[in-house]
Amino acid sequence: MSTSTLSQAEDDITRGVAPLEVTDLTTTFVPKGRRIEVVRGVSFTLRRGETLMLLGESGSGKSVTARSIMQLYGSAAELGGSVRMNGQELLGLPESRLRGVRGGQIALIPQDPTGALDPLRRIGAQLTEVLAVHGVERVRRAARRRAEELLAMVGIPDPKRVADSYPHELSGGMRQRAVIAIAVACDPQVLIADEPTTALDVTVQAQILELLSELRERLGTAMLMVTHDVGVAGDFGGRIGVMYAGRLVEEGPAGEVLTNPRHPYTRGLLDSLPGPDIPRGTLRSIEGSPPGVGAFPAGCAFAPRCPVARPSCHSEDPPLIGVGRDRAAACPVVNPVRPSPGKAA
Amino acid sequence: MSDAMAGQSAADPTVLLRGEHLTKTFGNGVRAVSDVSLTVHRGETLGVVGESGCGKSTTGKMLLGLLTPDEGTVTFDGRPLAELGRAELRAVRARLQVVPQNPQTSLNPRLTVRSSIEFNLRAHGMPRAQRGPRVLELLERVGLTAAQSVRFPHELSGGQLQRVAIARALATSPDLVVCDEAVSALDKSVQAQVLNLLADLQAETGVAFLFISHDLAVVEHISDRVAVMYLGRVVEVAPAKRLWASPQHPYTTALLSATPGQGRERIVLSGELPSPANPPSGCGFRTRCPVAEEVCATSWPPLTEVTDGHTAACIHLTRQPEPAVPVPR
Repeated sequence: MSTSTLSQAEDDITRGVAPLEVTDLTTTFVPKGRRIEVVRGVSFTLRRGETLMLLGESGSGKSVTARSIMQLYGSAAELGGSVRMNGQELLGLPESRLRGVRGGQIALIPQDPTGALDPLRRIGAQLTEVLAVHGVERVRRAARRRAEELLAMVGIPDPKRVADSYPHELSGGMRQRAVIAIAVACDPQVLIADEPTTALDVTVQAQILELLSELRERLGTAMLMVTHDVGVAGDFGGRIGVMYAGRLVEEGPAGEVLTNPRHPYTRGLLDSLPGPDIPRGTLRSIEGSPPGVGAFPAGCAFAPRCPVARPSCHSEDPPLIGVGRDRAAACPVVNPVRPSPGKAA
Repeated sequence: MSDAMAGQSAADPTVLLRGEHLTKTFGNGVRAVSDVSLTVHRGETLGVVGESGCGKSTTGKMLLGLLTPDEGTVTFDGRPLAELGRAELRAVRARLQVVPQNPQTSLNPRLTVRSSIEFNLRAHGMPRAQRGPRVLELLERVGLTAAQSVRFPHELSGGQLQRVAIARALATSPDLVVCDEAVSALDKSVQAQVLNLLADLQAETGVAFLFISHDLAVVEHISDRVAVMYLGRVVEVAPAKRLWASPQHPYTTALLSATPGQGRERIVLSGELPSPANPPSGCGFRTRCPVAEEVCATSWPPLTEVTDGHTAACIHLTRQPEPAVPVPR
């Protein structure tokens, strides 16, 4: 990060304005009168140029958190809490206003690039449409030129040809690049990437991660990336937020969270990873399996699988609290509350 | 030990399964597998890694006898599968089982877990009276309870279903189990449990595994030897530790470095996997290879021995068998 963006970030903090501020977000799906809580009070702040990786296993609510910020569920889900962009509340904005925000100020890179592109329209047309809708470039020729520039920027070697191609004519990696070009077309302040490389082969994944990392530096965009891959979360840097059963259970700088986890779930997840020096058959797995969506246990949802759980953990759900500089964790067992040093009220 | 003997005489008693010069082209002109030779020894785990479309699953199916190769032979325990009659093939199948990637679709949704496993036992001729106790013994061994044996697949989690699939595969006390992406769909915390289970079962029963996966960290952990595939060919075979310590083929090097969280310097390959329907001439990797030369366009290099039990298919090996000697200035 350059010094100018750093000082800009500090300015933002002092003014209390961050590109993305999520407070106590809840997402409840309401199929046929039932209520299924999927995201249960997630809070975080994303500053300018900063990256937060939401790391979690299936059903942890990481993707739903990302999509709830974009408000992509319509009437299928009830959202609670607050999502502020540069101080402006997004929850409850009318759909007409939201349309200008989505794809403009805040853009999504989904997991499956094939589903994200219109199969019947050429890539170039899909790009110029985004530019026109958000009023970035309405003149057809200029928009076309800009579209080709964007395709070149995301590392497509032959932008003219790709702009004239239909999605099915491109490989998976090229399609994901095209989707990224569309996402960054309007120079968004926040980029949300939902498992952007999960559908790709490992050598192509490396290319896309490199591209995202490059764009992040070049455009200074704040990025929220969802991943289930601890390796990706660690390599991509920035901050990591670990999710379990719809809650953020730990948050902090990537390097610190992965080397010195402060929540038993994070510890267990890291210990389950196969490594070169672990003798076969001796992986330290977590007992049981992650709870199903809609069947989260009472109290701390991790307690039934937790090696250090106390009786009280099964009834009281601990909040995410600060544990040292820049770190937070939701486990009072690992992080006992020390007598406070008498902070003046 | 067995590595020194690998690929020697056909009568090698340590060899359990041998595929030689396997080739398979599908009707749409896709040559999925070309001239693949692999050997699985008794009691070992052979890992097969590669990206999508490299032919690893097709190879697995041919080794299982589920797909007939266009060319080449598969020999199980000294006998070519192609020469076996129907009854003999059935007897071999009891000793050659599979754990597929997705138990949700491979288990019959209308059979209880217990019936699914019994089905396998009945198919291989176990008398009814012995089946019940054997099923419970198997389920207990894979960590499931008697109460879970009467459940249907939709009532169990992904990890539990994969345990059922493992119990079913082990029901007939096989000599070899082909695990085709068997843990790939599982969450990491559950995957670790299943990997431990596989390792324990191998230690107890001496079963050999052919472990097909795209997940390099998992393959490194579970395998004795590893074969790396690219575009329908085996490009490198080595003992697991050796492969990670000293990869010889430029594709292996790039593949290992591309895996996140390895701490290696990442080599980002340009371009993507060529289509197996329209592969490049010569070495299939040359279009993405950082060290490709003109001669690479003429033919796939043969697998060449680097050291004992370590072979790779790249012309740069034969030229530089040892690390380059520093040239005095």
